[in-house]
Amino acid sequence: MPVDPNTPRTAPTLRLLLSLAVAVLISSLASSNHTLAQGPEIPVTERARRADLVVVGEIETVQSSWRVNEYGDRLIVSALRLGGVETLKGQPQSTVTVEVEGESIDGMTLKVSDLPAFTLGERAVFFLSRVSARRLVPSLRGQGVMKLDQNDRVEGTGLSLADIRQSVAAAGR
Amino acid sequence: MMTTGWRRIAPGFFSVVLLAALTHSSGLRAFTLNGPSWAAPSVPYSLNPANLDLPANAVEAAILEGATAWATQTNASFGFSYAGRSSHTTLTNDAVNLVIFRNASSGSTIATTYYWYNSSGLLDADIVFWDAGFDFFSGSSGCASGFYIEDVAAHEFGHALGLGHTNVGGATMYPSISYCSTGPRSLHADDIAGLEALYPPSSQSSPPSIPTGFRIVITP
Repeated sequence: MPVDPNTPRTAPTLRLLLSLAVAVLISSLASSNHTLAQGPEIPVTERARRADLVVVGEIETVQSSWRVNEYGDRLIVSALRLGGVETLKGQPQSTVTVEVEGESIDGMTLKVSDLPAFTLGERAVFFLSRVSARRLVPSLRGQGVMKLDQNDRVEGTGLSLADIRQSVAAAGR
Repeated sequence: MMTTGWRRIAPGFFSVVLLAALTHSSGLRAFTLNGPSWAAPSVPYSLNPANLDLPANAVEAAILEGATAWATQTNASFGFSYAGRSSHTTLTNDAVNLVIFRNASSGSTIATTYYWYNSSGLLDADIVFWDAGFDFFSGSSGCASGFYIEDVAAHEFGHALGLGHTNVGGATMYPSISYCSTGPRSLHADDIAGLEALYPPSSQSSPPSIPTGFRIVITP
């Protein structure tokens, strides 16, 4: 509710209201960090620690196919080829292919609630686990992908790529 | 000591900060729709209640409560109907909407909904509870460092209905949940608005406590 500018106030009251307003704003901004799959949110440093490879890259191609997984589920699985790769953890590489469940084949689409949808040209930080010599998947599922906006900030948060670089470095290579 | 200048600008600044906070937390993003919806007014689902934590009857009652939250607390013109138990353990686009508990974990995810669609709309939705990763409870007491099935199911059935995540704290479709929370089983106004946007009520005058287009058949 707006404050009537004609209402006289004492300095301590104004200071208190101002502090409250700032606290509400900070708490509100902080809550936007929870834009991940249902489950406890894992700090970036911990995500980096658990990942075999952490890269920043742009999705250059998406190739989808049918696959039966280790549980017997028959799903659409997609290979996202990343270009312009910056390696934050692990052996530096110029291109990386990430395997994710979902996407489309012949007009049929599978979406998975704890994974984001991917679009060509999107940039993201990928925290990856190596499940075999040639297969990399997002570590911690949806929490293994942090999409970046045009200003290199994680979508919907105030977290910058520079912050992530710092957290990954702190986690150790 | 606050100066006269501060006195002049503080109310305006205060209003802007509050407005920014309120719009950020409750208005701008709110509910999201995944896009497709179900074409039929009612779609059956089955449950394989085999799990590591609870008797099958308790799981069944908890899943039903989570699913029916969307019918009993909204006027949406769509609902899932319980078709009974199943022995299926695998997921695919087979028109069998299945809820299972899998003795496996999946990162920090408690449960996942896999949903299939084409240009006609939603075709299949399967829900997996990652049983090896977390302890599950039913009811509303006795939980310790785990999650009530009712609340996780309410969230996942929201996905199965066609809802995405919201950034409105306290909403069922908020993407994270704290241990032992019993909040998500009670829909937030944001959840109700989302579902009713996807499946508009057939009659706006229906009282909110009466489900429309929803049938629950419990088959032992």
